[in-house]
Amino acid sequence: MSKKGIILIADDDSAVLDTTSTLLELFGYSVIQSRNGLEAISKYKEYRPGLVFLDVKMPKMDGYRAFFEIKKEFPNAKIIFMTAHADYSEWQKAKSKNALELIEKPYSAEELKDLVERFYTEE
Amino acid sequence: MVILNEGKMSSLLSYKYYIRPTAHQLYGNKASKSKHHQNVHKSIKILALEGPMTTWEMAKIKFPTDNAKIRSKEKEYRRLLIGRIDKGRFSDGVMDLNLILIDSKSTKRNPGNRYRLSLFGILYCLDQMNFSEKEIDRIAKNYEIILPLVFGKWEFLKSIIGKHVYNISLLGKGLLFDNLNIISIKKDEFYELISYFGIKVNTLTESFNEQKIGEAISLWFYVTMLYFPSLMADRKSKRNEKILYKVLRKDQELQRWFLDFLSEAKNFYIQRSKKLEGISIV
Repeated sequence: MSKKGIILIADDDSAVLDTTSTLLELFGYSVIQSRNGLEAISKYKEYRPGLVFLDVKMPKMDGYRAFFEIKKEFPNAKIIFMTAHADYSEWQKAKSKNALELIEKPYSAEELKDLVERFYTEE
Repeated sequence: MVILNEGKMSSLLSYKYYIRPTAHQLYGNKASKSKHHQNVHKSIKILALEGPMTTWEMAKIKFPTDNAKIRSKEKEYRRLLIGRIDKGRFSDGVMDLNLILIDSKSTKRNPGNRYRLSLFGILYCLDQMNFSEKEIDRIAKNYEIILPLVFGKWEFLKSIIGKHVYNISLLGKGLLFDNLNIISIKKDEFYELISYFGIKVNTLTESFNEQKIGEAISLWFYVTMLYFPSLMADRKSKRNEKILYKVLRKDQELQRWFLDFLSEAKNFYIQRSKKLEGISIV
């Protein structure tokens, strides 16, 4: 079945990865998963997704560092952060580099759908 | 009814946490370059697209008339499916993981086992083989008897929900909605339905037949694919009718089956709430 596009989601918690991926697939997108910031960068380069969801706290490389690395090479990348523990100082820096949103876990299916509809664009 | 190997194939959760990851480990993924992986994928693909058949019939697809070549290919397929223990060598076959099962005995001139994909074999190949929509239609036709509430209603479902039927391959990826605490979708009854589905699926660990697993796959399909997206769409479009209701209204068999599930879920929650009401601390 043809999909609306590709979304990348990076989170070290497989429960979050699974449930969010199920929702995004049901909304009609093809989902690429990664479990840390480093993997997210390499998958971004490989797939050029139209939207990225990055967890803030991840092993190997956290979401903020991955964000700045991706933005260095792809300034137009559309990136949303997900967190259970908001660190607003880092978020402010990321926001100044056009990070789209910071959503707190648990988020609702409606919130997720709304974000995708607002921000998804083809890379 | 096929009885499955105990402990290996008891529920959708065992597909997600045991069969799928083990199959990836043993047979690679669609990009794998290993000859063995490619041969396993080829045999699974033949059974998916052609339906139940003997290893002789599988071999004849590549060599329709050359008997010597058919014989050698047939042996290759047989070893792939059932494994080998001859001449001091030992290897598991695809059947050991319950992706492929013996369907029946062939009654043709050379009697032999007729093989087919198990339900988990079907999910695995929907995840791994990059099938086109036409090919998925063929699989649905070949396997309508073992998944009657979905594959048996395939053309009817397509006429109402269109290409969304092909989303059944999401289940092949193990996307079960079994971690609902992560997402707050608690305001809708979907939460109760899918949670009860999880409870029902977990209790299947005590039973090992494909009919019950087929029912679990069907419930997942109708609750997740038809009920949930409708709830999401209604808010935006203000359309009142859920897609699932349209389907159920037109098919009495599906309607009875789904209403049974609903009343089972209602009874479960009533009983549980009685347990809570019975708590007396002071």
